[in-house]
Amino acid sequence: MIKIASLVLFTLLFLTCSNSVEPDLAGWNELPAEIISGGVPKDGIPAINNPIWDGAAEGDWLDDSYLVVGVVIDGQAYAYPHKMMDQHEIANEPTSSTPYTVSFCPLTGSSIVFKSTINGSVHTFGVSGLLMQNNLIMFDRQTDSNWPQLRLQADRGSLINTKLDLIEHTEIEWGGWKELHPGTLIMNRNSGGRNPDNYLLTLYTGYRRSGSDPLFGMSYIDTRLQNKIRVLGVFSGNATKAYPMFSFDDGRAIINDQVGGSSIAVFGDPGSRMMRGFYTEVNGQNLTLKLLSGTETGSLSNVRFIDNETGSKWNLDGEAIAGSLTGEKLSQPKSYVAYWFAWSAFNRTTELWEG
Amino acid sequence: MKSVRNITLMLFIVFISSEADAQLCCTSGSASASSFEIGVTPAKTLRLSFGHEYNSLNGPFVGSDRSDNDLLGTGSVQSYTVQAHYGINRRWGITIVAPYVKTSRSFGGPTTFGADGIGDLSLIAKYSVKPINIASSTEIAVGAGFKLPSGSSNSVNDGTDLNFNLQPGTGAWDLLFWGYYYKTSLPTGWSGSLSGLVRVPGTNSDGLRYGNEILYSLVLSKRLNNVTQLSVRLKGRTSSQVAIDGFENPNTGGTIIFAAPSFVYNPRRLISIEAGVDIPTFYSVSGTQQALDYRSFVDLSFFFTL
Repeated sequence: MIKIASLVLFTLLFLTCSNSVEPDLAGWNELPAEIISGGVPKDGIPAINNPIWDGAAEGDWLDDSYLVVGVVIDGQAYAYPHKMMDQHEIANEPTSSTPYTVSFCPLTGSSIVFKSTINGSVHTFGVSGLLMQNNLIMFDRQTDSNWPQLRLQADRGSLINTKLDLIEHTEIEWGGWKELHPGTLIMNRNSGGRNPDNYLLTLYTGYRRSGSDPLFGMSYIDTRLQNKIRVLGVFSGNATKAYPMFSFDDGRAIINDQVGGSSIAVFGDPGSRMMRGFYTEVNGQNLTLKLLSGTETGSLSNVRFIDNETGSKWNLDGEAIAGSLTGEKLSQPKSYVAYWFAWSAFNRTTELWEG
Repeated sequence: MKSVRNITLMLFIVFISSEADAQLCCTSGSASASSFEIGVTPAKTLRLSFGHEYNSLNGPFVGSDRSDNDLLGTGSVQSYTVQAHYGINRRWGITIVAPYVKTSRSFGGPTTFGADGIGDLSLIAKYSVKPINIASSTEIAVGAGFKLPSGSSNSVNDGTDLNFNLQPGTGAWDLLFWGYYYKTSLPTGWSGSLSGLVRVPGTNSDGLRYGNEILYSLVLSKRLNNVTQLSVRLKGRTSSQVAIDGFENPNTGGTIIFAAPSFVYNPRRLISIEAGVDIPTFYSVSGTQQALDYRSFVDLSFFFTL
């Protein structure tokens, strides 16, 4: 009897642990990485719907050095502070003249802005609680389809394989965004239904250290850079290329490069931590941009480029404002800022700017 | 009769082997960590215990190492428990544990996130395979029971659904399996026990399922005189990962082993006070997670003959 009882106890002691429950992946695309739970249920992180807006002066609670997701919609600039998006991750604007959604994943340091009119109807998005390579997986409330943020498409549900229609946006410090858009609005701290003072918290400080690990294990790591280096990832043709923020550590600069057979230029400003890419082909001519002398420092609103080929001058929106190309506009390639570990995991053949 | 009993025990083992997995740190909604260290109470005797347990969670761990990751904040989980252990007869007993749970976590801001409320009530039926007697001074017992979802698992704080490990309850029915071995030497005042509790959690309405969990404890005690006793425990918790809708959270599960000295004082014959502290001696957590820095506990027990 003692032996049997001992057997019971030792069985209890030495049981190995492996979950007997398997995730239901039926209906999902076959993905290159496993999907995990981030520890919260669906809507456990509450998305913001129809934010309240303040003028820039009322955004004085936010230090100029803190990052915002900046976007211009139908001529109006809006700033979504990371300090709020850290705690909500998604802001839906279904009643905007152009309905759109802002999504920010603090674990991968990535934001995207996209039109929320899909197949003719406006969709609103929430946080599913699932993660893919640490990256937020959204769901839409109309079809319950799942959208891994950095896949830029639905990977489960009736909208599977539907691509997100991205809207250009800028990751930039609040002070820099105000320089570029003095008439900007900033999301009011009462938009999220929480104690406004909670948005004074600075979360993820240790997590943001460049050499630190992602919160959850990764099935793919590209060791060319440290994990949390912020990069501007650019899509061009069938190619992708990453431009690290530290490429601009020596000061405001512009990089001329080729990606996927197209000429592009990437502007970077370490003072505001912004990066922005441009296609530089105009009327069949590839332009080489450089900073106009005298705009290497000072307000971002005064930044001007000049091209070697025609001597035309360009502003930071990519508009030619002087010279023979006046009236032309440089388009922006699809791009977003993310931590290197995330960009490289979702774009495994990416090139890396090492100039 | 003996063979039937053995077959039952073997089935018990097989069943556990195929099901057991679990979750680490504090067990939301669970009974006090020490409630499983008590054997079958003598016939017609009620042991009524009132306890308090404080679990300190001051820093995250990665594997066996403390991490400086500040993402998870700091906090605590406290439980106030009422335990009733009743001996129906010489072999059968029943244990009911009712906790009141208070959780908190701070990220340094004005709001301390947390909840408090009735936790999950658990009930275990115990069977003494070898009841203790003066001749053998040995007890062997097994038991099984369940945990009710009596605690809230949907508490909201500051407009946000609290994370699962801040909820007073799990929202699910769990199965509990218990085993116990006790040996005492009355002339020398030494005694020892080995006990284990396996929890096989159910799934709550949010699709959340805690990982299976095993708590285990080896206790060595020495009675110093008629009113005091010292104990040293080696106890631990091993658990597997929490899953939501079947998707596992890799930052849950693992093992913590504690060394746990405690002191028992019997000021009167039918009253017992025990206080102690669980000091972690070994961590092996999965991923990055908050793990216990220490646990302190105090229990006041009364014995009644009914």
